[in-house]
Amino acid sequence: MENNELDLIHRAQMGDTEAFDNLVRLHDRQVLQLAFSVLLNLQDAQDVYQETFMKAFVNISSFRFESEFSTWLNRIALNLSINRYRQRKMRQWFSLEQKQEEQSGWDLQVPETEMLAPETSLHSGEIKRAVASGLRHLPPQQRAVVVLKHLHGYKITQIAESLDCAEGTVKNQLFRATRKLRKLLKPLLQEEAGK
Amino acid sequence: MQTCKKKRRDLVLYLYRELNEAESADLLVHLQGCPNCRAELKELAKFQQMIPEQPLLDPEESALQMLRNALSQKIRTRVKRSVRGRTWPLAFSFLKPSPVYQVGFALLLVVLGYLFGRQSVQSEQANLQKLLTTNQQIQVANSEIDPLLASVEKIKYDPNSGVVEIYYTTVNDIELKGNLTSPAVQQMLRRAMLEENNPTLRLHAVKALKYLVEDQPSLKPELVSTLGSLLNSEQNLGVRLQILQILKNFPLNASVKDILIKVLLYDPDPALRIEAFTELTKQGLSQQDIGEFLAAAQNDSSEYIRFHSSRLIEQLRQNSKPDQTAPVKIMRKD
Repeated sequence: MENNELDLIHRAQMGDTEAFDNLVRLHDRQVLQLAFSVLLNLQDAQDVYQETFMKAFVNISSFRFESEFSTWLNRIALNLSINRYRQRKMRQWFSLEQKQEEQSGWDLQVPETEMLAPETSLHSGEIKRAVASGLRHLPPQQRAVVVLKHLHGYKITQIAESLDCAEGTVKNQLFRATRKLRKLLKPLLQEEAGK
Repeated sequence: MQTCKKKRRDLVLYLYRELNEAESADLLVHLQGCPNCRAELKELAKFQQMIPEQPLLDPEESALQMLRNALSQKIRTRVKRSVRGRTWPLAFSFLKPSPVYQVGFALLLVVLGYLFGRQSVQSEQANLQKLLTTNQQIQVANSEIDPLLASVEKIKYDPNSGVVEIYYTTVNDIELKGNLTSPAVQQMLRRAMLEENNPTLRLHAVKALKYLVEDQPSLKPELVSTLGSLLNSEQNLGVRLQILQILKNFPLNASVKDILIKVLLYDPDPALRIEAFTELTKQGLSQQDIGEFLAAAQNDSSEYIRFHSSRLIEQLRQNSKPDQTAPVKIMRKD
């Protein structure tokens, strides 16, 4: 943790809202990306963004510097995202939304174009949509593990810390998620091999 | 085969560089002797390369700034609402009240509330008692009575002058004793005749006046007028009959005559009409009476009234000749 960040955390713990604003500026991109990767819905991701930082602001005095501040934030964001995902699933179970989503197949509810990651080609955009659609079929925790590992390049230890679980669990979930994704993206892989 | 199944998980971790040296060496040894696992590693690597290693979302700075602004506003609103219990600065954390103090403070508030409340209720009760027993006597028929509070209707406070106006009604049971000649008694009787709903009370009021008239055959004009009004509106036959008995005691002046004519012309009871007719005709009649009541009486449903009114009219017409000027009278058989 950098000295500047340490200073900001200390000041935020004393009730300095400007210092907290600076902390937000340092970490909010990652929080929003994580939330979106788990929820695959921009509106929900933005809600989780707000909730994560509000929760962090209220509980910042309980941050004891035992982990990275980013890991602490990620843990809050992932917990909120997973909870929100489960609530949404529950709502969809009782409504027509679920049917609509099932029918949508490979279609991804993509955010506004300016929010999407820059694409090198049309083809990479297609792959990204396929990956996102594949992620939609994974349980939230497996989805979070794949996202943190593959898309964000986290180490297994960091993921375990963020999800508050054992490293072995993370390894197993990463293996299962990869296997499932491969199965889901098999047509795309074959197409890629043919080129 | 069993070993291959175990190693498949390690293949994923190997590609992500998450195996330590010993684990990596062990896997490489296995791969040298296992073409299936080598093929699987190749496929897996191809798959991993295909998936872009970048987040699905890359928000622009302007979009993030909007989210930051909204968040900042939310945080400042929260701070303004002073949720200090959750955001106590560490430097002042020693000021945080412990649960024991909180319970003690709550108990103190309850005790204080009880004491203040009790004092306030006591003072209100004292004021009410004072109001109820205040010596604001009022004059009623030569006697003084203490008003009793019935209800407070309105309270108006003027903050400029500091004056409070309270509108309240009082209720009292009053007993009025006095001679029938007393104006207060007569006034109350008159009021009872006009406003009392109970017919028995109206009857008693009329009877009381009847006793008065028997001793002294004169009444104040307003009392006579009251009797006339009551006679017109009264539904109870007994009360109307008593009024007629009173009126019979008076000389037939203009006001009494008017009342009797109204009874003759409009009262639904024939007995009362006959009484009124008899009273009206027991003194001398004039030509003017034909127009006033005799002509109308000729159409009365009572045969007695019709017969005598026709006869009296005939007599009056005959008397109108120059040689016959004697007044006409009805001679009742009874």
